[in-house]
Amino acid sequence: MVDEASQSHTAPPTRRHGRLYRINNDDWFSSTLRISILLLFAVFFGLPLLWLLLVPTKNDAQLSELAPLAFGSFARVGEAWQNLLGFGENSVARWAWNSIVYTVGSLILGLAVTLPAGYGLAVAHFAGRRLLIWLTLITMIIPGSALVLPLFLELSYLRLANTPWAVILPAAFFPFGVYLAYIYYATSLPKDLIAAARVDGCNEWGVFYYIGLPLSRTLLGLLTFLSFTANWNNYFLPYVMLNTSTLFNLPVGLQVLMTGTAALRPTFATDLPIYRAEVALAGLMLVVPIALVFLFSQRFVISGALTGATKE
Amino acid sequence: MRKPSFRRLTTRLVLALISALLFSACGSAPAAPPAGDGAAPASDANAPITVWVDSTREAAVKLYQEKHPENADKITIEIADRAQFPAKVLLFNNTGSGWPDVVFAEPEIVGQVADTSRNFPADLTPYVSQDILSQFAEGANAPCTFDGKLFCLRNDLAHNVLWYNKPLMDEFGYSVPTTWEEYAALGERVAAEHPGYVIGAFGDDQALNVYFWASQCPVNQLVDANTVRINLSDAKCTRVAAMMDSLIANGAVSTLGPFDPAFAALAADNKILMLPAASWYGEYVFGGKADSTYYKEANGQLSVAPPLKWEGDERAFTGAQGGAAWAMSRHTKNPQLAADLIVWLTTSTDYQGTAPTFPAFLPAADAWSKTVSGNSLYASDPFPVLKESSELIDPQWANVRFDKSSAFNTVVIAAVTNGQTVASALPEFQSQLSALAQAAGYQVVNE
Repeated sequence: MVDEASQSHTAPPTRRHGRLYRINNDDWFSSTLRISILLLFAVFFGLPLLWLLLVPTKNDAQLSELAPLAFGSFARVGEAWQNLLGFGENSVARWAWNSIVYTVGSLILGLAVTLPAGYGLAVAHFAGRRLLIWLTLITMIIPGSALVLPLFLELSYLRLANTPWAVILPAAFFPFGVYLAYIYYATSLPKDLIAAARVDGCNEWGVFYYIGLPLSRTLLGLLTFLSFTANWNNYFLPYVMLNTSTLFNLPVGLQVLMTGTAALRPTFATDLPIYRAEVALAGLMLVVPIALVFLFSQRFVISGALTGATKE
Repeated sequence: MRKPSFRRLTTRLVLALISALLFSACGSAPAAPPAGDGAAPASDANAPITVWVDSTREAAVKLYQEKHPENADKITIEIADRAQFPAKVLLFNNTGSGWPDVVFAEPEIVGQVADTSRNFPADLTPYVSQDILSQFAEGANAPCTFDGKLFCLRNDLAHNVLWYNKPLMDEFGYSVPTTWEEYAALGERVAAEHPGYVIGAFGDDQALNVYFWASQCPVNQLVDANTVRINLSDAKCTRVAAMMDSLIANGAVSTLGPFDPAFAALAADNKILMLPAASWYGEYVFGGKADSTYYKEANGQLSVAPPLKWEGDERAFTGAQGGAAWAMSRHTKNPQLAADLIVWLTTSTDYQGTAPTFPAFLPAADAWSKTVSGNSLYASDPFPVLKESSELIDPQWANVRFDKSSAFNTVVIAAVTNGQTVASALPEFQSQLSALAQAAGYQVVNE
């Protein structure tokens, strides 16, 4: 018995040891595989971005002659920046400013409509509420570009086409935001809290302002990021609505810059100093604000993305 | 109070939508434009006009404003992407407003907006004297003429010529060819005696304009407004294919495009002996400046010869790569000012004398000559050859409503890149062109 006991006592460590060894071996293999796959994807997606960052440091000839990831010079970046600013008498700066105005305008107007609408759908029970939720869902799945043409006709009728409002007003229409706000308030806002506020004398607007709004910081962060990204990158709507070049936003303006110079159309004979490096720099101008907004709102974006995922 | 049911609410909503649609239909919806007649618009000498240009031509309109201060305030300049112009015209036709008064665009785009659905350009004939028209390079305004109406006035020409490296030609002891047959024979010699040197490029759709257009190959010959002749089995097409297959096989013609970095590297290695290409290649591609695509220095190495002739043809024909024009809207309220601006932009030596590319108006081209004559890039003054060649563009190569260049790239260039011959790709190119033409509303003639 003692022997058996001692055997049975000593055997498990051996087995455990063997199992542990296997686990470590498996761990090493799986983590190496995992890291390799992640590195592969990081290189796959990161390399083009790195290349884009390096392009403005080189002139057009260096882009062909030097290695793809070679660094040119900082002086060349300054030169490209000056060339970009000199295009059409500060057109690029004007387009950047327009982009900010349209994006922030649509964002503020969109949030001002989206949050109360989502809150109302979640909290109040009124006739047609279900219809409104269905309509919100339906408009969510209609591609935005499909609405651009009827919107153009509508805004032309209202004499708003080719004005900043032609971009701001339609972009403020944000059904996905309404639905997200509805889900958020329906699942995260305790009904007892609303009832308590009403007992304390708050009217419906007061409940939203003092209870609903302060509790929706995560939602606000997520909606801000989504709305900002969509409006900052908006091309088709401003392209259709705007004809005056001083009203263009960056995506539409950059299209004009690219097609009106030899940068990406070598068969275009022109003396304008806009080359591939300048276009890459303009592309970075378009990307950097989104990266910055994501950096500041990532906490809300990640936690907000889980809104409604669980019900406690 | 009884709450309205879901069904009742839906019915009300549908009724409201139908009412709104009916209301909008009865409102101020613009009438569809009449057929593309180019009718002369009503005139108001004080009405402002809007000009759509690219950023390169913006300076030209500003110069007009400077020279005509009485009209300066009436002109608004907009920088636009002209490739999007046909789509924009459709939008403006829907709303009945927004058209620019003057547009800078290639005759191909003018042709697109002259169709019955867009009906944009006005006939310039009443506004341009015969005397002025006669001083344009011969055939320059042919691509602007649709059904006898002058829908645009040419700004510049981008006719193909034969660029060659004079010191290399002298060193190798070669004579400059005057016919395509001599060009092919020279290619055989170059391949045998100086492998690695090239006399042409066949790597993108420019090859279509350089080789097939110059041979009068019926790729897009208009029989009438809605009938196009496409016959790539014509001898004028097969002779090009045979020549190119031979030159590509021996390496004398590169399968790279002229703007491929690897082709530019050939130039940097001084391996380009000869290149049939557009008139603007001298200044903007060979260059002779530190940031130029081909030559980084100007050492008198570049020379130019007239377009080559096929021995069986009566005279030499050439193609073009670009060359734009100015068009006037039939909706303009001030046609006199719009037409005056267009005539000035195309004929004034003040602007055209310093323009980037070869002016279509020959007296202005004479003034422009100084922009190239003094350039130390050239072995000799290229202007006489450029001017002489400007009147050799084959007018049968028509502006059509289908994209022949993309089809050429996807069929012929792709075949050559995969090691097949040009000749073997022509039947497929023919069927693709025919399908595209029919889709664009043309009746196709294959004879």
